[in-house]
Amino acid sequence: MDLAPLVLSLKVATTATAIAAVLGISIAALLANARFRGRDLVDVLITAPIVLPPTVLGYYLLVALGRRSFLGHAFEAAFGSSIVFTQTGAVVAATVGALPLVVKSGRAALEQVDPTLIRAARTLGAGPLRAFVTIQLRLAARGVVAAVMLAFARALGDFGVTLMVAGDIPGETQTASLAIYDAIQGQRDQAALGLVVALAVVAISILYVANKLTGARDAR
Amino acid sequence: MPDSGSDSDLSVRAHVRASERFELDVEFVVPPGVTVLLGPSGSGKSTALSVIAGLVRPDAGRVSLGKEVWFDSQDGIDTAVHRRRVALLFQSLALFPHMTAVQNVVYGMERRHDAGRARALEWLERLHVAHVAGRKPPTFSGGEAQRVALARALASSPRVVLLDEPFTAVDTELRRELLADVNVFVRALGVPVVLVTHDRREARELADRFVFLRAGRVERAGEGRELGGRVTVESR
Repeated sequence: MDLAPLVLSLKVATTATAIAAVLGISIAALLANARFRGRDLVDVLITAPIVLPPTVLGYYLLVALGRRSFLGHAFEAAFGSSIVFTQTGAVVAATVGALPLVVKSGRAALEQVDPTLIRAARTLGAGPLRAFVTIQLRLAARGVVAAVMLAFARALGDFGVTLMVAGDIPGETQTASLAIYDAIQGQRDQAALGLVVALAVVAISILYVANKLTGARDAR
Repeated sequence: MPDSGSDSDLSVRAHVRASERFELDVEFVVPPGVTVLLGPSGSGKSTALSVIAGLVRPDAGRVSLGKEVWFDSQDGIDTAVHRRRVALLFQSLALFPHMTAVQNVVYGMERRHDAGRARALEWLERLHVAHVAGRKPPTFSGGEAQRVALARALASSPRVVLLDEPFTAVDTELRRELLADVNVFVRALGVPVVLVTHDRREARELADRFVFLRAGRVERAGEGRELGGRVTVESR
């Protein structure tokens, strides 16, 4: 079995999850705690990837990040390589898929924390950031960790958006999901089987642990 | 008048449009010592405390401690909650469930390391709860929880203390003990203290001054001794 696609998938998913975690928890905190104009719109835009067809999402990303777009052009000028059809593109695709999971589940976990505890922390001299980290995030930790784990599982398995944005270049952007598709198309079923089992085991293990974490919330 | 008070008076003038049905429009001064805030349910007592702590932003008004202005709608001043150093004892106590009693007390102190820990323990001892120092709130009895919350509020070097109907969940005997502690320790801080209560006897015993709210306005205010039973306070 060629392990390269699996290694690439893990690398891409790890990077994407790290980005989605930092960005997602910040956005979740804002949506959970702040009242601002356009909050519902932000919520809808962030969650849209859950319901949009991967091809539609991929199309938008190509338009936004392609070599002729402003962002794509700026990125290429700064780093010497394009976003689309590279590993960076694969990371972007996986991040966009993972972000809504962090934001949705993370926000739900943060909103479970009794707001009086946060107010108490503030009156005891804690600034907004300290109150958030030491009280709200700490008490929501299980839920937030579960959300990040689910995001990782989602990032690991992305197919459609990655194909649109990063292509299917063996050794460069061919992640495990894409390699499975290629192997089946080329009637190399044995090659597909190893990757299928590996992805399934990782995803189901993550789901199991995430469920354990959220289910045992009272056992602090 | 709010501005004519002494250097350590808390002056409050606030107009808060909390909802379609409720508006708070008050003006009162709290000198050092205990001022009891009385009034029927829904008269705006808790909202007034939130305004002082900085948790609710008035639509108009001015809140100051001595010469220090915490809120002024005209000058656009609004000091953040954590910079006011107002200790608010919540009805629900709001002890942090994931921290031990000592950690709860240390949380509100400026020095959070060894010196802070020693002082936190002193406060727990003073309030007779040193034995729960290393335990977490879910294991506390009702009285222990009340005392730890009081220790946490006192240890935070507050410049104003706000007590929002504290000790309502405990029996009469314990309640008397706790109020005695409030009387001794909170008074010793020498800062303005606002105590919200429904209990008329409690109000008479503790009040240096009183402010009576009804429907979001100050109906009466005066010296504690004037309370002598003439004000009808809703009993629970």
